[in-house]
Amino acid sequence: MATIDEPITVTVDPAVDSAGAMLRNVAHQLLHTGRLDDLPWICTHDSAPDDLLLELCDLGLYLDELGHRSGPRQLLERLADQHHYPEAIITLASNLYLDPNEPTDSFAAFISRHADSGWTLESLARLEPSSAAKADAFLTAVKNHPDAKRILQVVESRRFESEAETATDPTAIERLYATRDPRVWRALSGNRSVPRDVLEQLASVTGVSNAADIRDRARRNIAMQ
Amino acid sequence: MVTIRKHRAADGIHYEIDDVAHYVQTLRERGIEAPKRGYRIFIPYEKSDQDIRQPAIDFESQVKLFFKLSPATGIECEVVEA
Repeated sequence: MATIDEPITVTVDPAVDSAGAMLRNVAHQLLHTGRLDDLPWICTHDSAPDDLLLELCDLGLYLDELGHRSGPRQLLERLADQHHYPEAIITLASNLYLDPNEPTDSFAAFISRHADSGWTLESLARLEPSSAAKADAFLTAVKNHPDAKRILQVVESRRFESEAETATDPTAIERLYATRDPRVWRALSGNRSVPRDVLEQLASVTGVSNAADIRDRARRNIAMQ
Repeated sequence: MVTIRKHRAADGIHYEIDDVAHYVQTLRERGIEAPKRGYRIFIPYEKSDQDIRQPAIDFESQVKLFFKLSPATGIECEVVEA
């Protein structure tokens, strides 16, 4: 806080001015006087009006602060399409991928525009899409990416993990255990259908990511059998 | 407790944070971005005469919101007339 500075005065009409209008007033004073250092306070403000956020985005100011907002959607779209801001691309892509109310065409068009974002593709690979059509559109986008092989491995791991949570067939459980994938092992360790001998192996697993969690879950599962 | 001081001056009514250092620290403790400058909300008397008596909105709630002191933050806040 610059205590030596005279406070910035926001002149308001109490009959009509909301907090958003006051923030718009402040932001314009800061912009007109070149005192941009306090704009992050406004960019992160819950009451900042949408039009002001879009104005700041168009000026390319404090994109990090704007990019960490959850909305409005139009802001995220501008950050993604005009500034290629990674967090905005991931947030929008995830929403379009997961929300059953979002049309497949919208997701397909968006992911096609941002198919060069490996970070986004890898994030989506860990998610369960809201429709098979979106899964297909995602795989189409992944195909041409230089890291396609690795991203498709993530997709496969997620599918095995999902299967491992509910598998009941001993052959399927054995196959899933043989993947040696820590995420799959973690899912198996909490599955009540997993045979005791497999759980005992999971209860002593070491040297993989989330090993302690896998052991704890397996031990709790054994105790309940 | 953060206090917003309401002060009646010759030209109108001012709202300002009473203890700025405490206010900034309180916001930061909650992970809320704090302002780097001081702000004063000012209502000229020509506005206040006609509008303050029966404002269309709960104006002091809007002042609290402006200072990021909404009830959702869990920060206790009061407006005190000087």
